[in-house]
Amino acid sequence: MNDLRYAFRLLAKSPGFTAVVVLTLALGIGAHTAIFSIVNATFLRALPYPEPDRLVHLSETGDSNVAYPNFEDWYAGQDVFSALAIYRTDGRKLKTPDSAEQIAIAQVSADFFPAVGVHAAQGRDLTADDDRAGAAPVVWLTHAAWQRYFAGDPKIIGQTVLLDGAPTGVAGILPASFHFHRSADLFVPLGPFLDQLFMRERGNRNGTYVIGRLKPGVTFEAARAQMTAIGRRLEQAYPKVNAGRGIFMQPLRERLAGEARTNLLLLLGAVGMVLLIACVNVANMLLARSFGRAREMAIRTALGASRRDLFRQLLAESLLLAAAGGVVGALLGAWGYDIVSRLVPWEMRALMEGTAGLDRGVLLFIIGLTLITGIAFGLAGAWAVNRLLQSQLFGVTGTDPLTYAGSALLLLLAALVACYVPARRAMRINPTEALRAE
Amino acid sequence: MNTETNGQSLIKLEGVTKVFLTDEVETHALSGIHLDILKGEYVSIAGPSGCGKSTLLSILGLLDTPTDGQYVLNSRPVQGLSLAERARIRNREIGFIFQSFNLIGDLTVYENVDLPLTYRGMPAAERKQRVNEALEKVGMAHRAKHLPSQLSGGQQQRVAVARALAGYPSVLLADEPTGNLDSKNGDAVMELLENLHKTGSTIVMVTHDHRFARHAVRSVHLFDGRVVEESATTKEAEMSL
Repeated sequence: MNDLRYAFRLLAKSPGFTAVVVLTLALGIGAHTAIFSIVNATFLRALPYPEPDRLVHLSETGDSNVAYPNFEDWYAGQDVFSALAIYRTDGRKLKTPDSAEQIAIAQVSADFFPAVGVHAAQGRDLTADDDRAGAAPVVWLTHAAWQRYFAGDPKIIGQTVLLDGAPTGVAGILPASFHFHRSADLFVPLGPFLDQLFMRERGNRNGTYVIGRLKPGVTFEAARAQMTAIGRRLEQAYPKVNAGRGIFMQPLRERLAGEARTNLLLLLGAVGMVLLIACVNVANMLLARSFGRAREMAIRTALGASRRDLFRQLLAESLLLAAAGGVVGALLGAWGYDIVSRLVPWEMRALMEGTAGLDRGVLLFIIGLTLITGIAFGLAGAWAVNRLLQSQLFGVTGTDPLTYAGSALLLLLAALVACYVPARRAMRINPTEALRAE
Repeated sequence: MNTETNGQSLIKLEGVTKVFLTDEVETHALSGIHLDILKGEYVSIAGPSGCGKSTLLSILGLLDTPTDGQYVLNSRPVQGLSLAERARIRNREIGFIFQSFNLIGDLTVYENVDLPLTYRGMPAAERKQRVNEALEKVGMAHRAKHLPSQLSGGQQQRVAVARALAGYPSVLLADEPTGNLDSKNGDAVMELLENLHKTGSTIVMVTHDHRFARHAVRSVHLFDGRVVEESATTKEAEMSL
C-alpha cells in the first residue's frame, strides 16, 4: 500500500510525464483493442448460429437475387441440405398499443428457422402450412421487438397485431440469443405474399437470397457440385430467364465478412504498429525517468532495500500507469469500436450489433501485454542506470554496443521473468558513487 | 554518561584490499587494512582526498566488497555474502549518515525515517513508535510532516541521523556528515553524534577535517590506502587525565 501511495504521489508530481505516458498507452491499447475486437468478431469467433460452419449462402451467379421458382427447383432437386430457405427483408408499419412504428421484417420460407438453427422461445415454430398461399397471416417477434413494442407482454402470443393494416396473429417469440445477419424485428412466412409480390414469375428476382444448412457429413464442395448441376439444368430448361445464371455458393462467414478482410487486416497491422510505437515511446520515457532516479534507488539500496522491495516499488508505478492507460484506453477503444465497425459489411455489422462489442478479454490481454512491456522497459532502465554508474568506475562508456545489446537482451528476459532480474540489477547500483554525487 | 566500550569487537578487518580496474590499470584503493573497532567506540577515519576513506566506509557498510581480506561484523564473516543477505544486514545492523543527507525528496520527514523499517517488514505500530522516538532524539518531531525541501541543511542532516538511528543499528557510519553544513550546523550535528556515542552507539565517521575528527575517541589515519597512524584523539587524552 505504501508503494502504491508513493507511486501515486510520484506520478501526480509529474503530471506532464504521467499524462503523456497514460495517453500513449491509451492510444495503443484503445486502437488495438477496438480493431482486434472487430477482427475477432468478424473472422475469429464463430457466427452466433448453431454449427455455423454448415451454413451456406446461395444466390444466382453474380451474387444476384434468386427467383422464387428457381428456389423451388433447387429445393426439390437437392439432397445435400438439411434445410434450405429463401428470405427477403422489407419494411412494414406495425401498429402497437401506443403508436404506429416503421419496422424491418424478414419474409422467410418454411425451412428458415431450421436453417439458422432457432426455435421459438414462446409460442410455436414456423411450419410448411404457414408458408403457403392463402394461409392465415402470422408473425414471429424477435425478443428485442417483443420488449420494445409490447413491453415483454407474455399474453401477446395468439393475439393479433396490425402489419400495414393487415391483422396478423402473433405465433411466437424468438429467443433473446437469436440475432439474424439482417435487420429484422419480425419474421413472417413468405408464401402468402408470393402473388402479391409477383414472385411466381421465374424472371422476377425480388430481393431474395437463400440460406442453406449442409447435412452432417456433406462437404461444401460436394454441395456445390450438386447445386452447380441443378443450376445448369435450370439454365437449359429456362434459357430465356436463366441464361448465364448458375448457382453461386459461399460459406456464410465468407459472405458476411469476406470483403472487409483485407481492410481490417491492414488496419490491424497498422494499429499493431501503433501499439509497438506506444510501447517504445513509453519505454523511452520510463528509461529517461529511471536515469533521474538512480540516486533514489541508491539511497533505498543503502537503507537495506532488497531486490523484491525495489521490484515492488517499480511494479506499483507501472501498475498505476497501466491501470490509468487501461481505463482511458478502454474508453478510446469503445469509441473507436463504433467508428471502425463501419468498415464491416452491413450484414455482419447487423449481426455484431446484437452479439459483439468491445472484447473485454482482448482489452485485458492488451493491457497486460503493455504492462509487461512497460515494466520490462522500465526495469531495463534501472539496469541501464546501473551500467552507467559502473561505467564511471570501470571506464566503460554509457553508449558502448555491449550496453545496448545487453539492454535488448535484458528486455526479453525481463518480460519473461517479470521484473526479477532487473530488480536484481537495480540492486547493483553502487550507492557509494551514486550517493556521493551532487 | 557512557563513553566506555565493553571490549567486544564489533568490526574486524584483516588484510582488506580493494582494487579497481580502470582502463586496464589497477588502482589500489585499499591495501592490507587491519582494523578492529569495539562495540561502543567512536572512531574517526581521516586522511586526504583519495586516500581510500570512502572506499573503506563502503566496505564497512556492505555497499562494496573487498577484493581480498576478511571482514567480520558482529562475529560473522560478511565479505562473501549474497546481495540479499548484505541488504538484510545493512538494514538491520548499519545506519548510514551521508554528507549530502540523501533524504528522498518526495517523502515526508516521517516517511523518510520510516523507510528502512518498512524494508524490515516491521509492524506499523512498532515502526511508528521507533520513528517518533528517533525524531524526538534529534529534535525533529515537530517537522514530521514536512518535506525535506522545507528544511534547512542542518535539519535535513538531523532527519538523516534519525533515519539511521530508528533501526537500532549496531554501528552508525557517517560519511563526512558535516561536509555540506555551515560551522554552526556542523557543530550541532557533531554534538548530536557525541551524545549518541555517550548513550552507547558505535560510530565510525569519515572526515578530512581535523576539527571534527577530534570529536571521536580514536582516530585512524589513511594515506594511499593504508593505515598510517592510529591514535587516541585529544578528547580521549583529555578524558583519560
